[in-house]
Amino acid sequence: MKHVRRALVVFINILIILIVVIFGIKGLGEEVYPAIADKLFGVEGIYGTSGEQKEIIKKPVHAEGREYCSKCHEEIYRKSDQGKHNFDCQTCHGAASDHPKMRLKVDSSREFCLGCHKATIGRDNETIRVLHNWENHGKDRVCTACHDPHHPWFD
Amino acid sequence: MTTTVVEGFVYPNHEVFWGVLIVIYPYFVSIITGMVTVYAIAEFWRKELKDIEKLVVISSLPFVLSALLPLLLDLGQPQRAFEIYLTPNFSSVMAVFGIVYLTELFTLLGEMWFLFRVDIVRMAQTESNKLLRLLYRILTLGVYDISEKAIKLDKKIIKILTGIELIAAWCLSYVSFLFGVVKSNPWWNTTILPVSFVFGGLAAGGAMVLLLYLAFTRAYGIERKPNIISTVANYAFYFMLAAFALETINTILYAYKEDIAWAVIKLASTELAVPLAIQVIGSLEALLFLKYVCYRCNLGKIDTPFIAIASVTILVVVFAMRWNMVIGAQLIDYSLRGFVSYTPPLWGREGLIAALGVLVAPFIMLPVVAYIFPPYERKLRAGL
Ligand code: HEC
Ligand code: HEC
Ligand code: HEC
Ligand code: HEC
Repeated sequence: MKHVRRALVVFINILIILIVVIFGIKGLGEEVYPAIADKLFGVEGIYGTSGEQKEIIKKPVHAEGREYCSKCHEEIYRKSDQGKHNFDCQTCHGAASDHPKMRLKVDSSREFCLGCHKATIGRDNETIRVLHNWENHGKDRVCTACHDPHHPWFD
Repeated sequence: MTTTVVEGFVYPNHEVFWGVLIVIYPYFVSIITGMVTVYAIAEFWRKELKDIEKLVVISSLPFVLSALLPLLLDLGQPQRAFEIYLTPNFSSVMAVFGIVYLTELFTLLGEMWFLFRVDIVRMAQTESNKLLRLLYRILTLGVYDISEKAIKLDKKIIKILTGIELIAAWCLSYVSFLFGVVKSNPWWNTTILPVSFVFGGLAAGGAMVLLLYLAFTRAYGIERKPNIISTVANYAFYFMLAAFALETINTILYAYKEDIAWAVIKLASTELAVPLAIQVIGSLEALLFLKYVCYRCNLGKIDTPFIAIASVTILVVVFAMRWNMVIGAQLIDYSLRGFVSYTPPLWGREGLIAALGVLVAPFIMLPVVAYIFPPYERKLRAGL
């Protein structure tokens, strides 16, 4: 019957379009979808798919021991050794890689510090001192305005 | 979120991540399953329900379309929703959902087309509104054949589509509940629960059909038929009974064994007291009223208020069941040492206002669908 055949053709066409769209979008790569949709919503690189992070991920990671930094940043190294931020410099600055040929990350935003100093589900509050009132602690100023990131306490 | 001290422990260390929207999602799926089942019953067994076939089909569509809304709103990154189709993974329940959902949607649309084809052809020739006429003309796909033979073929195809749709709808329901069960605590983490929930859903669909029947017969000025109401109410009664009985048997078994699930029930029922009371008392009330409605209808009398109360009660009860499972399952810590409480926020993407919007959405779409595909003769409406 004619109408059934036509309906079938319409249905199959819809299916084909759907499949073409799926493979088309897939073929264009993540730089197009979801990256463009993300951009429209102002989302950046959650789940590690922003272009910049992708590039970093592709690079081989090369970390050094903590002592490596002391060779050239003697002062900071000694200072940090006396405070509570005496853990590996690379925790905050990223893996050494080809440094000093390559510049390292220096992030002095509030969010960066709060990443460790805000209460987090699943981590007990004794491990790292938690700012319960983080919204108002040093409100509207970067943490480094008062705390030295390499020697955070005041002595 | 409040923390609660139980036996000296400060728990929990988790939050309620699935909010009221994830309650609405299985609720809609339940209603869809119920309505599709009522349709299948009409198609395959009970010829007296032929009268409400079109009504059921057109009202399923808005629910199927709105079922995506709560999921979309719940996603942290809604703009990435389409990725589920780009990266299919058959070990993921969510991916199965995508496939089953599309099957359901397409069979429903196909069914609608074949069911309304004669009407579409007629309206493509007689409709006075130019835009609508164009729409109907496109929908005829250029074939105006409404001979006996063609109609007979349509009916056959509708039967096949209904079969596929029924299976898809039940799968959708089952998958949705399985989804909840696998993550749930021992109370709900049972094989029987998805089954019981499917039955609850069937009852909800029946109740929705009853309500819509009351509404549409009123809007179109059509006489209500007692045997339609009694048949649907009867099915709703038995589905409700099955759902209630399965859950009750389950709970009694736990109480007898006094195993870990019973501990969970004792803990959770304080936190869930109100929805649990609604569920139990409401179920009993709905069962009573439905039986009464059937009894009256068999005598040829239609008690509209009773039908309405019974249907609304079922809808509320089934909502409470979904709430108890989705929210209740998250209230207890996995360590079983404490629980959180959940109060949905008023505003925001996962707030009460958004939830209300989602709940109302199908009823906003329904008049539009009904305008394009009137389930009953349109001219009768003019007389109102
Ligand atoms: C808690 C995280 C943290 C650790 C650990 C840390 N730093 Fe830093 N570092 C920072 C921050 C934040 C700044 C930026 C300070 C500012 O903006 O005033 C910074 C700045 C620097 C700078 C100066 C960059 C500039 O432009 O002024 C150097 C050099 C440096 N860090 C080296 C080190 C070395 C070497 C170590 C290991 C001994 C180390 N850091 C450990 C957070 C850290
Ligand atoms: C071979 C000597 C040397 C070593 C080893 C070294 N740095 Fe540097 N670092 C430098 C010099 C030189 C600069 C200044 C670069 C500039 O200003 O262009 C610098 C700058 C920095 C800066 C400022 C941001 C930047 O990239 O300019 C940071 C942060 C830093 N170093 C961290 C570290 C850390 C962490 C280590 C240990 C993994 C380390 N450095 C090891 C020589 C060294
Ligand atoms: C990688 C995680 C991490 C980051 C990032 C970090 N901290 Fe810390 N911080 C720690 C740890 C670990 C301690 C030591 C444990 C403690 O006492 O809380 C600490 C301690 C402190 C203390 C208390 C020091 C003392 O002597 O009692 C201050 C103040 C502090 N951090 C400030 C900052 C500031 C400001 C920043 C941003 C530049 C920052 N932290 C970024 C992990 C971090
Ligand atoms: C206006 C200056 C100022 C700014 C900005 C500031 N702090 Fe502080 N912070 C202090 C002072 C002063 C103390 C010690 C007195 C106190 O506990 O309030 C302190 C204490 C702390 C402590 C220890 C708290 C405790 O309970 O022992 C931490 C951790 C800390 N700051 C982290 C941060 C972080 C992270 C930021 C950025 C989000 C920040 N601070 C910004 C002045 C500042």
